[in-house]
Amino acid sequence: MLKIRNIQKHFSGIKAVDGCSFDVEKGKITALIGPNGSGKTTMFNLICGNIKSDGGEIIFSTPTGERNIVGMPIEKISNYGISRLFQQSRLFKNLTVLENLLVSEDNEDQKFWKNIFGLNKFDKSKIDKANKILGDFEIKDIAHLTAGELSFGQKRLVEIARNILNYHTVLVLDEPVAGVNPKIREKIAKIITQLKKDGETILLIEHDMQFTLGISDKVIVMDAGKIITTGTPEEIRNNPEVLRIYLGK
Amino acid sequence: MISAYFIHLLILIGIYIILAISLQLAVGYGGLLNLGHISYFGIGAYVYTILLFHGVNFWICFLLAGFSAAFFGWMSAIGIRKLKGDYLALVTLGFSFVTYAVLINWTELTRGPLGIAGIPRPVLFGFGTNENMVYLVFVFVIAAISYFFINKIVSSPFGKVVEAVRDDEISAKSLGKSTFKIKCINLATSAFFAGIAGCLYASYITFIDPSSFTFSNVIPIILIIIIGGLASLPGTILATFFIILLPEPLRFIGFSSSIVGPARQIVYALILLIVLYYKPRGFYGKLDLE
Ligand SMILES: Nc1ncnc2c1ncn2[C@@H]1O[C@H](COP(=O)(O)OP(=O)(O)OP(=O)(O)O)[C@@H](O)[C@H]1O
Ligand SMILES: [Mg+2]
Repeated sequence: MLKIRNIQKHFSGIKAVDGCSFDVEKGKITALIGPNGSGKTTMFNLICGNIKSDGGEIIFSTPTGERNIVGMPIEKISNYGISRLFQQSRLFKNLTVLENLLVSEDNEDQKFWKNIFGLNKFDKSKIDKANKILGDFEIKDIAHLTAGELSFGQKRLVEIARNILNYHTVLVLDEPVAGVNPKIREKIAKIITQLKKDGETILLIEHDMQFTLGISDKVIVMDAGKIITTGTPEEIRNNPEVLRIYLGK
Repeated sequence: MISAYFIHLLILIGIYIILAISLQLAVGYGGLLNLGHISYFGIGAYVYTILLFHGVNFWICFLLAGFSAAFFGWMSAIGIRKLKGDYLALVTLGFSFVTYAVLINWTELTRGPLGIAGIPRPVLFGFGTNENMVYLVFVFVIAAISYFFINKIVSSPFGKVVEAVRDDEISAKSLGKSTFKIKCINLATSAFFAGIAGCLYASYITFIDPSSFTFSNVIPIILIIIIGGLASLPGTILATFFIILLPEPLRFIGFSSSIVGPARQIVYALILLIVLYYKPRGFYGKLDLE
């Protein structure tokens, strides 16, 4: 699905991502873990086109065949099928929750003339789809609030809904449960479990070990820009080096 | 006498409404702090006038005034492709100085500082518009059509994407939106209506010169969109009446016109301060000033 090959990124001397290679397999949850500053978000920025890489390849199975997506613009990569949740909340804060979801569904809304002379509303099918996911997430009651008014946990739920509605073949989630209260954490865990059942392909960053190891099929451990080990959750749980990195020397 | 003057004010209000709602599209909805809006107004006025004097049909001049301004709007969007916030404001401000310099110096085309006088009023569907009352009706019809279109844009799904790009461009890109194209369309549309307003202005005043299109002329329009409230069209209309009519009593209290000019600036500055302090979202604004 997604093959990362020897990808690199340096920030004035700091090797944020230093020659990493790994695969994300279709229908599996791949987790990327590692201490703060180990380069996980930078890896996501490289995959999604937010920053330019200093070398390496990212091969993505697009609907029209495999492509090296390094250097492509963010929106093009997104339209090929990568849907990203940012580590920081990035909702459209002056739009309502419903509108946030509606603009995510497809790109018909960018067509100026069609909007001026033709349809002047969102399709009913789009609204139904958005309402369905609001129902599934049990957040129908906030549909008409502006996104800026929401609590952090509510924002996270809406953003995940937005990622799911956005056309994708891979979901790339940067810390979906960090900083939310236990109740919403539970809810998000359930949602991700359901996504897994539905056969979604997910690349996940998460610090919560119990959550991550419980849900993923494969775990990649990064430290200081390098991948130090890869394995099943079981192997990672018992790996002394991982314990050392996380618990200190 | 009073009523003739009142009609004059209403015509100005009609023209300013078009200028202000089109600027609202760029600034309030699109988040593009465009300080060069007056240039599109000027480009529209000059293109209209020059073509008209070459014997081109009124409606063609009218539309070309809009489209040539739209072209420059699109170009500005390309110029500001990588810029945000303050930088965008600076570059568009620069653009308004450049436009002014061109209008002043390209004398063969624009007659420079002398300006172009004797611009005839159009004859529309057999009606002459030399009568100000008739011209007022014309201006209000065009203002209403402009409002209809801009309102249609901002309330359509496209309008929501425009707002999405304003709120978080990276996020919009991550959802697959071509944010650059959206900004181009936004500025071009905004400029189109400013160009149309320029055409209305030229044929109303029957005289244009570069001094009507300098940076200081954009200040009342920016004031209108702030006081009306960012991303609110009804607020913008209300604020246009407010801003155009408010300084008028000064004239009747008996101040001479040499005092009215500066006094108007002072009134505007005071209004802005009061609004920013007590009502930072203006009349009906949806957003905070950032
Ligand atoms: N735009 C940038 N400019 C300069 N340095 C950066 C930039 N982005 C990241 N870095 C640096 O790169 C390193 C990796 O950062 P990154 O955000 O990828 O870590 P992370 O693994 O996501 O950490 P966390 O778990 O805290 O989110 C850090 O040292 C960080 O300071
Ligand atoms: Mg991170």
